[in-house]
Amino acid sequence: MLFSSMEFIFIFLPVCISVNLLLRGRARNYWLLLCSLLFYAWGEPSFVFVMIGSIALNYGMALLIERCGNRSGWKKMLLTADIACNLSVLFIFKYLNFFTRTVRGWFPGLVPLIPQTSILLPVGISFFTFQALSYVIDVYRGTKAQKNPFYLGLYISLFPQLIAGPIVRYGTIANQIENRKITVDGFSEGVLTLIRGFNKKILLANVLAEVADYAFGTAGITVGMAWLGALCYMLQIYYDFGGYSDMAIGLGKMLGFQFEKNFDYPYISRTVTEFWRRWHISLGSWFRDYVYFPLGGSRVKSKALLARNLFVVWLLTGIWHGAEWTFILWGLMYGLLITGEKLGGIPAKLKSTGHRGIRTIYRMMTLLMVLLGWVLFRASDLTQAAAYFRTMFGLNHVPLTDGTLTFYFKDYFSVLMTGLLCSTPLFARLKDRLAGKNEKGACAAGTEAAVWVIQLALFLISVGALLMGAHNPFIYFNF
Amino acid sequence: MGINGKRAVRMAGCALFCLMVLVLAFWNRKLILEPVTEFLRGNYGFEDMKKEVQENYLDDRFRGKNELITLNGGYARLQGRTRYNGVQLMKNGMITSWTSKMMDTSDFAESISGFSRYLDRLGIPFLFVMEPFKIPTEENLLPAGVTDRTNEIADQALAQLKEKEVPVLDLREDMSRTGEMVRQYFYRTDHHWNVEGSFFAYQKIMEAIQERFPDTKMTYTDRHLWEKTVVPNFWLGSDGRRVGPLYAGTDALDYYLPSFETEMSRYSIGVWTCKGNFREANMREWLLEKSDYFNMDTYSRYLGGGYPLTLHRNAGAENHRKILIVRDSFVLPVECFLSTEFTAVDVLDPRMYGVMSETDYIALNPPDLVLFMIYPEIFPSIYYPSYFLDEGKNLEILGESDFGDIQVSGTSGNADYQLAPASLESGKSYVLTMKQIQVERGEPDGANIRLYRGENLVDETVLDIDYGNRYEHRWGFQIPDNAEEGESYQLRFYAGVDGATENVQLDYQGIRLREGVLKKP
Repeated sequence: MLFSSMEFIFIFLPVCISVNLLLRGRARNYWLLLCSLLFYAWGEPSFVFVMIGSIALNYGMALLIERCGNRSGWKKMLLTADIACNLSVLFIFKYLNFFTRTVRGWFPGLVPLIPQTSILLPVGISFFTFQALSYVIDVYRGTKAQKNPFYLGLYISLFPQLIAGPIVRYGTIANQIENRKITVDGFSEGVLTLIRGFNKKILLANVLAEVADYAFGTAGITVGMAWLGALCYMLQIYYDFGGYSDMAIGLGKMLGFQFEKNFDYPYISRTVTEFWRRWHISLGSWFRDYVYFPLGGSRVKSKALLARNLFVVWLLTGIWHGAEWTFILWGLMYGLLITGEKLGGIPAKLKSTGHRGIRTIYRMMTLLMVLLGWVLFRASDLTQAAAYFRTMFGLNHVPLTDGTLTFYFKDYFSVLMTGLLCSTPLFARLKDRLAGKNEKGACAAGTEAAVWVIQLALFLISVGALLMGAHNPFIYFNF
Repeated sequence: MGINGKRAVRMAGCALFCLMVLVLAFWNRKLILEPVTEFLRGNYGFEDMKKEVQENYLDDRFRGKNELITLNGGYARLQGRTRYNGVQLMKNGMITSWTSKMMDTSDFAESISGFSRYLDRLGIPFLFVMEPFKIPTEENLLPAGVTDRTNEIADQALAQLKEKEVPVLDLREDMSRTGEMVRQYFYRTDHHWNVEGSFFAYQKIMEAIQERFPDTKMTYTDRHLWEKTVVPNFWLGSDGRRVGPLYAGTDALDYYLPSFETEMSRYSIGVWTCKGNFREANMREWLLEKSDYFNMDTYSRYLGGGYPLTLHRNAGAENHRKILIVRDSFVLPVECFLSTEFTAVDVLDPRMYGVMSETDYIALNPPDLVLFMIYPEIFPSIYYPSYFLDEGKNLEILGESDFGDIQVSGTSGNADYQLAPASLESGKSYVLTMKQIQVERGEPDGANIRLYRGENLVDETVLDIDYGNRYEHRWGFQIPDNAEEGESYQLRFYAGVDGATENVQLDYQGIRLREGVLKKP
């Protein structure tokens, strides 16, 4: 089920929230677990069993690991087995098709021996698998295991973050499962965050997608159109994923949960390293804590080891995003850039330099690399990516501009500008400025009112867009 | 205001959101309750239920949909979007659809030229009428970068037809060359022409018919003989309903009614019959009375919509000719105007008519002139293949039988009929004629004759009694050649129109049935 769907907004949400508010204590948790399973089953009922299987596996393994106490050998073995099981499931459902296709392509002689699989991908499997893995690893590291299987099930399957994150650590949420309160302020804040995310998705992401889809789906576009399409995709994916994360966080608040933010204005980043501290924060920190740090992180003896660690992290990041060479290359691209920044000490040098111009240029270069990375990410395969890059850089002998570019630029100018401005903290700062320092003042109330009026009006407009039958996928559902 | 001020605003905003969601959820609860109930009863599978719920929430039954679409359209307009939800805003403020890709029309031209040759063989004049398109041919009203190829496709088709010597009337020359023409003849939010456009087309068609039949009288083509009614801001066209009235405005209700006396019938076969003056026979009153932007298609104020086959009969018309029009939706007002001029106007929609092929219909019910009318946007539409017509067969008469008279009385029922003593064979075609139909009792709107296979209705017609008593009653029909052995076909003569035979008595006199076969030459 999509958050930005009519059945979610007008059936699931009111029923789930209303009953949740009426219930207390454990009943709330069981209700939410039921809702979460129904939410997942709505997409594809049979995949619920994959998730239940994952919950059962990780529940059992965590308990066993905890029971091992100080027997580190057994603990390690169980942890390894758990990781292997989880990753095997992920491999089968997400990567097996790609693997068989690639092997059959590279080794035609093996074609009779290796059938081409076509296994359906359970939505959100990467997210809930990583979430489950983080739980077991945390138990291995000393966190108390959850004895109630339903509570663990709730943690893994909680619908706000089940399908597209943020990846929530068990430690963050363990206490909240058993001791959370829904306050009026928290609920209201959650509503506003939910609406904001919904509006971002429908009115920005979906609209910018029209330009991006045209650019990426049409042969013979001009250089200008290619750049416009790339820019629109860059904004589309931010508002698509960022909007979804907002909705997840808002829904969490409405249910009494506090999730950490997943995006922090990534496009104002000064370096690529900073970009990944602002983009999909929960994924970046997951790989940092569960892959990078165990490998030694940056506290290693040699630069070669540092490069190796970063290579592993970014290769896995690319693979995590999808079963295509484009994603792997995309991940490795970031690995290369971040390795370069770390080895070159660039973030520190930029901080210390007095030349604002240098910092600005580097910032522009960062944004450019991010943009080019999104082209790779969006392309259906390497061939398309290469063709698109050739067009962008004028190597395809196409004109710089044409009427189509003029049309799309003019027609989508307002949305594009809104998208660019909202990707910066400008409006947040403006709101704070207008509200003033006095929280009790009329300005604060007035600003708050303006925000609500605008967001509620946009919410109604967004629902109108849904009713028009607008195309409405979530990009990160593919993961 | 203290901190409570900001908090109060926040709580109020939250409450407003919850209220909006709850109200809309409650208003629309049936959209989920019905499919879920069917699922729990075991009538639906899970996927069926899910699909039904999703479709219900996106379709017109969602209460509040139209208001939200209106809001959304207004927002799009504020943003300066000239293209939204599949419609393109032109520089003159009108909205339209468009086609950006060229199409091959050679198969279509081949089919129409074959049809033209067939009519030529039968001695029936033919005219291909290209209706105008809302995007002008000589003035660019589209925003920079937007290309429309619809007129190019139409030009291509017309050139191919002219090359094959098909007679053509291109209404675009006088109706959509310039932006001013388009403004004058088209609706702002609908792809159809307005009543001025349809009336002008009627005048041009009459001129073209007069070129082929010089004795044709153009009795009512003067606008002064008609009374025009205009009610502004009355409806939203098909394009307008996609974006709401705030995006591109609304359209006026407009219609012409004769100031002169009329008495006519209109039989939309299998749907309904109307007899009376022009207004009674043709106008859908409820579309003239009620304005509802999203739920009423006011364009259909003439006749209420399209039908597979409509027979207009006007015994008192000056021109005793039968015109057959192969239609699309633009024909709706035009056929009504033409029915004031001609004693018989038959209108056949190839997208809907499925009793027999269009050429078989012509062979069995030959008109004096055939008009083929389409508008350029048919070419890229899903309906386009329906307009391919075959080259037709000739009717070879093998024999005939005289059945004399049949009297039918309507008693207390409303489906009273008599069977014709005819033996109808599979694969054969028949032409039924009669000298007259005498009304012995009652005031029927027409005389219904039906062909049944067992209890299944296969075909039918309604004969206008006044018309037939001046000119010959005639109906051609065919028995499918895939009839199974033992299946019997019967002709039923009704006391009036089925559904209204009570207290009616008709005397069908001088019935003759000719039997033949349709053969390719």
